[in-house]
Amino acid sequence: MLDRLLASSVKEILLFWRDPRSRSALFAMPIMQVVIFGLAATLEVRHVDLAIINEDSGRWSQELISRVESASFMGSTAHFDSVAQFTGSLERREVLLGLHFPADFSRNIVAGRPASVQLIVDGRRANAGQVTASYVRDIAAGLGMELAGMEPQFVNPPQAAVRHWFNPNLYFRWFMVPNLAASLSMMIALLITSLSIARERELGTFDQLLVSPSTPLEIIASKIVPALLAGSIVGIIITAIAVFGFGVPFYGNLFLLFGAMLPYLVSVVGVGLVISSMVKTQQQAVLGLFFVMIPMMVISGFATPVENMPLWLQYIAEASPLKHFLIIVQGSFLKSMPAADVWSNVWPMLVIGAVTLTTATLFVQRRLQ
Amino acid sequence: MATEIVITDLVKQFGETRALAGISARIPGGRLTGLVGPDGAGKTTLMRSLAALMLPTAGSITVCGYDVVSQAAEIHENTGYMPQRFGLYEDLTVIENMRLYADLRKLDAGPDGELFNRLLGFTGLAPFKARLAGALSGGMKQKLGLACALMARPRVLLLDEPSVGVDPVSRQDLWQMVQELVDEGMAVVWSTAYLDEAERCQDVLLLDQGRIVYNGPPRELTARLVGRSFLMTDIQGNRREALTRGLQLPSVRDGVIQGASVRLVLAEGAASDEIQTLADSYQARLQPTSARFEDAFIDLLGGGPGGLSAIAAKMAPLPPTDGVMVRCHELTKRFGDFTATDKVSFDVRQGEILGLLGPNGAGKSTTFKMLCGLLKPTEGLAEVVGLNLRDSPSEVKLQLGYMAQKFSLYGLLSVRQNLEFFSGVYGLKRKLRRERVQEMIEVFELAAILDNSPDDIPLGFKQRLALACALMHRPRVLFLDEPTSGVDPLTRREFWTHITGLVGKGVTVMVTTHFMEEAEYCDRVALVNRAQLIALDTPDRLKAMVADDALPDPTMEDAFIRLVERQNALEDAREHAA
Repeated sequence: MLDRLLASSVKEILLFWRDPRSRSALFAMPIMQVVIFGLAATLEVRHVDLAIINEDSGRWSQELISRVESASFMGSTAHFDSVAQFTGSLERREVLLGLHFPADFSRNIVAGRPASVQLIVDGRRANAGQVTASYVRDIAAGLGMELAGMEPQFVNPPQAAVRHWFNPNLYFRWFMVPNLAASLSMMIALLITSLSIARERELGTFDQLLVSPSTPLEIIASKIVPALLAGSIVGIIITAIAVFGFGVPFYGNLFLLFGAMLPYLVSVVGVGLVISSMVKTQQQAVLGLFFVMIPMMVISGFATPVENMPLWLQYIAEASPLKHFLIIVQGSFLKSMPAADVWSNVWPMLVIGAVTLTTATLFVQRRLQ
Repeated sequence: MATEIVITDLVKQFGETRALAGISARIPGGRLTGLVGPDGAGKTTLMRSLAALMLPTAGSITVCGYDVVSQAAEIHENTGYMPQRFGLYEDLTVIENMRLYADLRKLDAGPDGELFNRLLGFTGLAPFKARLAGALSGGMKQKLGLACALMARPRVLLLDEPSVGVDPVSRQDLWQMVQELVDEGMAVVWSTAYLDEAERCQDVLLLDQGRIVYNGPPRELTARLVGRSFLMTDIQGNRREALTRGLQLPSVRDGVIQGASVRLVLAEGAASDEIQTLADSYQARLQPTSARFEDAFIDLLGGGPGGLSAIAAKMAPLPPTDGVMVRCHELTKRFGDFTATDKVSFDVRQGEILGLLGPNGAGKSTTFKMLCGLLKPTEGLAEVVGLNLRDSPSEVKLQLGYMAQKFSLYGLLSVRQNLEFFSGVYGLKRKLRRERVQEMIEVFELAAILDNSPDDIPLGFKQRLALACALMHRPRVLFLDEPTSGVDPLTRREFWTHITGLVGKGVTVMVTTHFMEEAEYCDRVALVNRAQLIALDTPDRLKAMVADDALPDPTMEDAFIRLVERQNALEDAREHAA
């Protein structure tokens, strides 16, 4: 039986490796995706066009303006005399937000009274607006802190100062690129496995396998091999790109991360093989793949937090291997996740793998009847 | 009749390979022209060039007076082209396919779809109008393809191997339809690997290696063979052995099994002394017989392969058993309320070749799949080597070899990797594995193509490779599912040389086929129609069953058609009565 399994596994690896399409998918896809997700698809805001409506002639409004203008997210600044003029500019999307200083801004600060500045944000660009607004708030808060520190007569410093742990500057890439290590290795493993049985059915080689002494279990086991290898390679490449290319800090244990990658990929491969063992053609397999893969990514916390989803959906997310592995990935990169926490996310993946692989084997067996 | 197609010095080059090397011919209207030749002779290339789907490298073609290079659009309007696999949409019904095709060609089907009704009537597809094209049998798909190709009332009809995978009954229907079209004045070109079909064409273009080696009525070619074809009948002893010995005689050009007899063709100018001696040694009768087109074809292409199978020679004879190697008893398979196989019972003894024949969709494939363990019977029993394949451990599967129609090879692996995989999947140990792979490479002369993909090698080599993969573990029972479908007579002879050799060593063979020549090689033929086994006997006795005064010497094809029609009529009458 081991001889047969070895022969089948070698065949599967060769089939994968000799197919120029799958070879390019192994290397070109991760690099392209990392570039796109890592550089283009970012929630960080840059090149913001800001409007200033300054009715204050004092020193402190100028101070705040110059601090905001020198911030890294800034694009151009436009000056307006009145809110009415600014409104038109906002409507035409020339500026994203306006900073409105009332006439008594500096006077209030000097007098030690609470001073406020109005932020007007284009609500149509909710995300960028919100992020920029929080940037500006941080700058204003910084100024307030300094005032409180150096000149004791200025009271009323801001009450709360936010500090983001693990990712103090909220670099979006620190969040996104490690996630890609999980999601792209899943994609390639799913792609390889969901097509594998379907392709053999189309070519007629599947019957040839079924009349051979190979058991359904052996067929399934041999099909795990190339996907496991390819998925691991992609995962390792992206981890390396994250650390060396994007400078994402890695505080966790590399062995724990790669150790957890195996059960993760086995469970993903199980999902792919269930799809492949159910369908008749490669076309159906691709449809099935998208039916499963995209919802799986959305509910797993790839881009949006799982905690924000309704409870019933959070239960469903437990069935997604990606959800568990993302926790491990994020925990390994930005903080040092203890082994016990890693394990508590590994065993659900082992359960998923056992269930899906058994299902796939049963489907192959049932096809014989 | 006007000349519809003029081909002048046509050359078609693909990279290094010259598919067509200077062809000139004229094809008239109102005649059926057969295009024959071995695989890779350039038949499909010529067809596609005629349909203006491929530009000539040199030379010219005019179809209906239009030039293929400058007037392709006019040619598309005036020709109907049916490729080997017509582009039917399997998820659309018959009538939807026709409507789509008419729309694509901007044809007006008339207010009540008269065009469709006429074609549906003509092809006999009217009752299946609402059926999905994917659910049609092979024969019906070809008829639908023909209906679509005929839609624009073409002056020239190009049919590329329309009868591959089509059963004799449907083939006869197709043939009659095409004959009607020819009578109306259409020019029809029918390319085929079946030489009995070529024999029925009015003209034949015989291609070999991109050249025309014969152009004219088939009868004239056959006439060259007069006095060279012989039939050895009443053989006492093993007829397969007699054929093998016959093929090794220097005076013999070609030979095949024909039921209980052996057909031999002498080389040009050779005397019949040697074969007379051979016949005497089997106390057989040797009588001259009329030459067939196939005899002439093989002769023109330099004769068939020798009679010895190198692989069989390498094999030790299997120990004889008196047992039954394949058995099915009351074998039944139902899909929902459709019965695909209904209480089929037969036994196959060791060293026997049993042919499983039947119309498309009659349950032949289902029965076959149950026997080799690919399907689970609903009821009844299917056993190989005395064991039920489904409940048996993998080791039992080591007893059987399987070769499918599509050769089931891995195109992404090289020839060598295919051999290595199949030897490994049958659990051969390292040393034995290396030996067997090496042996197959030598025996089937695969050394030169070891690093090629099976997709890129000639069909003949592909067939050898598939056979090599199926024999790697020395199976005692061989299952062959339409093994030579679409394969030319030379390649087919080579294949049967091996099978004959293996059977001589005690291997048992189950074979499904649509090819009646192949049925002649079988010891017994099981004919399946409408899910039931309607006849099981030797080819000669099946033929005798349908012989009458009008048809004293029926062919295997006649036997097939008559037996099937007889049962259909009987059942329909019973249904009427009930």
